Amino acid sequence: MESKEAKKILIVEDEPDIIEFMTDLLTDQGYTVQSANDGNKGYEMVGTYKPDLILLDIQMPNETGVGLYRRMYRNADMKDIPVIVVSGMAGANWAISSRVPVIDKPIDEEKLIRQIEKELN
Amino acid sequence: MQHRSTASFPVNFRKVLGEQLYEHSPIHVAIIDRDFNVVQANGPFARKFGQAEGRPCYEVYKRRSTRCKNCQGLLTFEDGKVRTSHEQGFDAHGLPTHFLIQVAPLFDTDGNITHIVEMSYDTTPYFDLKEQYDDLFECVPCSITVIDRDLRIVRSNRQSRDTYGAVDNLHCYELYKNRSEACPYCPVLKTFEDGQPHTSKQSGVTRQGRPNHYVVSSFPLRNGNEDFEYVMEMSIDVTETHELSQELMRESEFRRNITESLNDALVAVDEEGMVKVFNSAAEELFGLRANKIIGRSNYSRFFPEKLRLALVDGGSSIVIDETEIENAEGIRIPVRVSGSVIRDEHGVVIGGAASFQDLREIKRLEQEKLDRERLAAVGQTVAVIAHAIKNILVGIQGGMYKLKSGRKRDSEELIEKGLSMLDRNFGRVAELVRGLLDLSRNQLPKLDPIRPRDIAAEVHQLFKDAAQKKGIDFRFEFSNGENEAYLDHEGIHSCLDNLISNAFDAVTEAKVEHPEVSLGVRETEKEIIFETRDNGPGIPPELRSRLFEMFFTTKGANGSGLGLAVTKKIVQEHGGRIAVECTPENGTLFRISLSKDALNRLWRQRQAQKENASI
Repeated sequence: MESKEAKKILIVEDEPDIIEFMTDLLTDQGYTVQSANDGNKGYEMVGTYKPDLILLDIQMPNETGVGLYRRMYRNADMKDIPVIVVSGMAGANWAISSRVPVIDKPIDEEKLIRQIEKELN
Repeated sequence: MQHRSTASFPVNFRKVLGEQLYEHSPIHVAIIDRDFNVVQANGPFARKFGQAEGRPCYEVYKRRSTRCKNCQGLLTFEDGKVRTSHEQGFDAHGLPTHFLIQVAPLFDTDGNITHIVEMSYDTTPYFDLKEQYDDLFECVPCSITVIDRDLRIVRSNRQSRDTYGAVDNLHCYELYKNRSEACPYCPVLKTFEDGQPHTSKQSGVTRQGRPNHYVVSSFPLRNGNEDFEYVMEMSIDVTETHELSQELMRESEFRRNITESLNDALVAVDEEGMVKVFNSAAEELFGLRANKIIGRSNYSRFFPEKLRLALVDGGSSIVIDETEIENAEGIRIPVRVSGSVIRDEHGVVIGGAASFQDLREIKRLEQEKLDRERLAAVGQTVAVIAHAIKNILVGIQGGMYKLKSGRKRDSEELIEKGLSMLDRNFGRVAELVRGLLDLSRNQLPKLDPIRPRDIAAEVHQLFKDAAQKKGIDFRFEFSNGENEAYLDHEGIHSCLDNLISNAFDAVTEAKVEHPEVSLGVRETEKEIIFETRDNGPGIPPELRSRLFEMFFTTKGANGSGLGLAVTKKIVQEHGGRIAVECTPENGTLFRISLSKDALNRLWRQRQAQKENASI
């Protein structure tokens, strides 16, 4: 795992336990991980942290995942950063663009890891 | 000239007429000479016209100073003929007098007319009567015409001339109806036929062309004979009455139409309580025919007791939002009843009316709507619950991942962390389930008489230590609330718990410098009010409307999103309201308002249910 180039992943999620779990999981996969617990903070961190990929929850206080995605899409520096939606919300598939993959909760760990690899290549 | 052989006149005359007749007949007799002086007059004459002998006749009869122009006596002196005429003069008292006078010549032995005798009969009373009759005929407020057998008018009075333009010789059918031939039903012809009076109602046209209505009576003018040639026709104009009655009929028809077209059943009774109105909706609702009920049935069968009492006691209108009636088949039907006591202009009760709104359809629709809403709510709720559970599952997944990693790497620390993560999420599931149960709890509040301030005081007591630890100035405020009210002790307690713990969270999370929370209870005339207040940052306006939604939380994983939903549910079960007011300056205020009426009503319902259950 150490051989893998340390790609930066930003988790935008309001539940601390979920952040902790995904951080554990992705760190074990050799990624560098940071997190933000709402859409606004997430947007800020996309600018400062410049992640290679974003794991995005939909339902969050202050700014939802949908709002964050729209703001990123309007920003030329951000719009090409791959995004994977991680949400247990019914209808999450339709919440953002059909181009954006969706991982349901509880999380299928294998599937998430495969999807991240796919998006990063 | 005729000559008669008679003795010298006084002796002969007296002999002919006799003393008695002369003096006592009702005829005024005067003998007048060629100079028109009265030479002799009988007693009745003197009584009528005064002392006459030696005075000129024109002075006696008419108070004239010269002879009358058309003197009949002069003619009789000339031709010896007997003449009769109507004259008008003055009696001894100077009152106008009408008399019928006959002038006859008196001959001397040579056959010359030396005197005339005037026999007059006082017709003043008849004349007055005729005048009165003529006035009456002319001026009565009805149209009178006298009609001959050809149905031609021979006489008409003023009103018939004014109203119809009556003229002699016109046919009555032309006059009254603008017809060219006799009317199919002609009272005048009938009277000519059978000699009897006839009365009928007719419609015609006035000379101004307005339609009019009149009652006409025809009767024969017999003049004392069995045979008659004329019929008098009297018509009384009833146009106004007719129009009024037509208007009344139209009005009544209009009302009947309204009554009949009502969707609600309408039953109205008179002051005796007898049913007078029973519309078709009433027929349908009660399953009874109006003709079997109107005028036959008593109100007791239809009016709810409250309205019956109002009628008897002279009460006012009533509304019963929901009650039941029993129809003819014994089926009980839910209805809404509005009843009114009907009074005349003096306020005396003259009847009552009740309208019954059949609630079956409304109830069915309400039920349908409720079912649909429930289904939608269930779907939405399930989705929301699923989402909440999914998040917790990820937490559990995270705990297990840590546990596995810890075991793999033999790290006690990771194992501990994993276990505590599992523990925490286990707690969240438990809380979620408890909240869901509270929400789904379909039982009604367990009401008991309790003082509102006692519940509030308990909650204050419960949070006092926590407040002290957190450095919150936690106050208990009450102005009243000493009276007992019917409340669910546990339910209200948990509402206040929830609101106070929210308030504590608000001031703690915002790290307010001098955190203050207060719990208040007070009572107004109609309500019991609980209030919690904090000096936290308040709730943004866009979130306020969602506060009471299930699973809405601003606390992330620290809130189940059920607290306020449960609180609202409990308040609503008490028939109350919960409201939130907040400003960044003053923090947040939650107010629970419970209507005393609603609480009392719930209590009564509950008691009735208990009684039913015990039966």
